[in-house]
Amino acid sequence: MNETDVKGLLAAAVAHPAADRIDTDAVLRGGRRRRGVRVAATIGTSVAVVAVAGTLVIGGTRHADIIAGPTPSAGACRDITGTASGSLQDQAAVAAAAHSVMTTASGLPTNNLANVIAHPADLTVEVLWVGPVPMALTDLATSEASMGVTVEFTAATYTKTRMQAALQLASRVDAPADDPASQGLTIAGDGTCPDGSGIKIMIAQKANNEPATSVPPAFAAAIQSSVGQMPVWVEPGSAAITG
Amino acid sequence: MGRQAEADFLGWVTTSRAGLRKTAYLLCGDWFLADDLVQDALARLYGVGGRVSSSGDPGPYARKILMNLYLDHRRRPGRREVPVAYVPETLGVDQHNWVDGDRDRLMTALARVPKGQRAVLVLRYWDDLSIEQAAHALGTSASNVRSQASRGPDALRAAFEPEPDPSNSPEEAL
Repeated sequence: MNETDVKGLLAAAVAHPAADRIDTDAVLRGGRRRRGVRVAATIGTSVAVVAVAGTLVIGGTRHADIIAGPTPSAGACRDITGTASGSLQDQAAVAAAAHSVMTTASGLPTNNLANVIAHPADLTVEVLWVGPVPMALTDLATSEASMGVTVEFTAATYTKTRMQAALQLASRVDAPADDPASQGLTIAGDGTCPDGSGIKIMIAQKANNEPATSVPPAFAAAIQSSVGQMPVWVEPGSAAITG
Repeated sequence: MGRQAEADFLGWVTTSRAGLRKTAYLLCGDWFLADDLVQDALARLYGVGGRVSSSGDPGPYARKILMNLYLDHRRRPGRREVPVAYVPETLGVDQHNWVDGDRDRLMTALARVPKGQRAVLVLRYWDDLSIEQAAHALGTSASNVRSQASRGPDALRAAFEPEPDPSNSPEEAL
């Protein structure tokens, strides 16, 4: 049994993983608890040291989080929509290729997939990927080409999972209480940009779910700051977005 | 941890968790336990957030925590493997064609490999770590990892081989 055999065996063993039941919120709660214990222990040690030295130094300046999210440029969250045309046979072929791409990507140690878009009319599958495309996918593209389906790779900025994580953070943001313009507004919908460039958030009236007449800058800034550097397009609207 | 760092951490978690789960599964052979190990490892990693942001890539440190949790888990009383009366039937490597159901045989074979050697096999041949990186993750020497890595495939092959069947042994001449 050589190295290649062992790699093949291990890959076969994890080819069909069970459903992921990791609780990210619990991770953050557990991490904060551990961090609190560590900080308490550090403070305790520091107090002891200070007592011996006879000098008291209390803390340092707590730096505020620096949040400088880029201002999204108009239209940068490019809508890419698949086409529904083409024969049923072509649609089935393209759907199968798209499924293969997603299955192969999910089996990689790092899944940098941003989106997969089917174009049956062109017998093409567009794969938006972050960073270098792994050989497993380029091999798959070669294989699909032999069956008549073209798999094209387009560079994306953020992976689907990274955008979904940002959505989790952004969707928890409430309208700033100290901003009169934001009162009565709420987040009504959100979604990832199809081109993998960021996320979209829709703002609506809390009372009737009608789209907000405008987006208060303070509300938009609060949403942007929740996700850091990733571009966020905040727009009036009430419908959920799929992307 | 600030919001930016937390967003970065969550982003890293979402892209890396699948790989960590698979590594954990290959170590322990149980998806539920693998999820527990990874979740605990991620919580510990988050708890040392400063180290995460200063090193850039939290992967090596996450893997080191995961290895410690795995090895520590196996040391705890009551969590050790339970001996059974009958070992599941296995096939020889040459008889193997990889179809559904073979995963159980592989995991059974992996479970027979000593835990340290199993960890080296997973780190070297699944995570594609170098000798030095694997040694760092396991907190051991490079020479030890090199030795385990060279013997690992043989150990795995031996674990795959069928148990000797007493009924097939030559009859002793009376």
